[in-house]
Amino acid sequence: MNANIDSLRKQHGDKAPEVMREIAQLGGFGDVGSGQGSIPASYAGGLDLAGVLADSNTALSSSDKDKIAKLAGVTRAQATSIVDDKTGEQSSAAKMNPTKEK
Amino acid sequence: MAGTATAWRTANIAQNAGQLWGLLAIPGAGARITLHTDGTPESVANPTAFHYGATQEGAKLMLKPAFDKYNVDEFRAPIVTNIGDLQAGISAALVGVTDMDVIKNLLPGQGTYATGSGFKEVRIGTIAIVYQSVAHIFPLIEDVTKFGVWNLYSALNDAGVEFAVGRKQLGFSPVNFVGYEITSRAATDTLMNYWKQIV
Repeated sequence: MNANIDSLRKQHGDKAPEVMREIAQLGGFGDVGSGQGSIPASYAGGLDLAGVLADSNTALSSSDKDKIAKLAGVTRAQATSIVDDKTGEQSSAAKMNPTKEK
Repeated sequence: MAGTATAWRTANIAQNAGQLWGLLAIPGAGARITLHTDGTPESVANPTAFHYGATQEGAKLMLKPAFDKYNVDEFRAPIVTNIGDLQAGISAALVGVTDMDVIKNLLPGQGTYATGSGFKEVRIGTIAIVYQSVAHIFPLIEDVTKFGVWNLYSALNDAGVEFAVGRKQLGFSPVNFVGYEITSRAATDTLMNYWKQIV
């Protein structure tokens, strides 16, 4: 659920910078480049795909999400399962003893 | 005619130990950094997430606009304004001053990290400036299962490194992460995001 130059290079080889630019543009991350106000392609932290691809994110169209997922080699279902995980709503006690709550 | 219900907001307070994280993934349009259920950055979405460690007195989260005011002769008060300057930041004083992984991330444009047999070092000179996505994540008082997040999309520490070494004191190095705009993002979302989880 992260797109960075290393992960994209494994999939796309020399085209990785171009792919990263496309993902960044589709996902509204900002331009990928070397100029001021851009995201360097070499930024180790990469782009958070889980948030943009989650079903709960209405800022992107479904087709743009599909394109991003395909380019990055991930699935939208995985993004949704990460972002929309409801276990965070449990109390601390329930998290420590989930079987008791069931 | 009825009155209006008051709202003292005494549950919406900041009084908890938070965590300062750097090298996070940058969130996209309509999204926020992805958290795990324990409030830490989700590791698959943020594979390089870096915890800066304990602080002297927590962190100060800052967003300050400077409004330019314009007057005309015929009126006493300003008649129009615009935002001439906008500062966003996260400041703290870190205790882990001998951790070279911490130090290297605090010296953009200056520090080159290396390690080998028997050493870790940061050499100071001139290198490319690297920005990073930084966030302070803290548990909410109003809901103990939820977290608040102050996330600068592109930031760097402009306070350098400075700490005392002595027998009777604990050395802390002040940090000041300053937010920079990613100008190619949507105009309403270029600098940072302050958000909290809700039910």
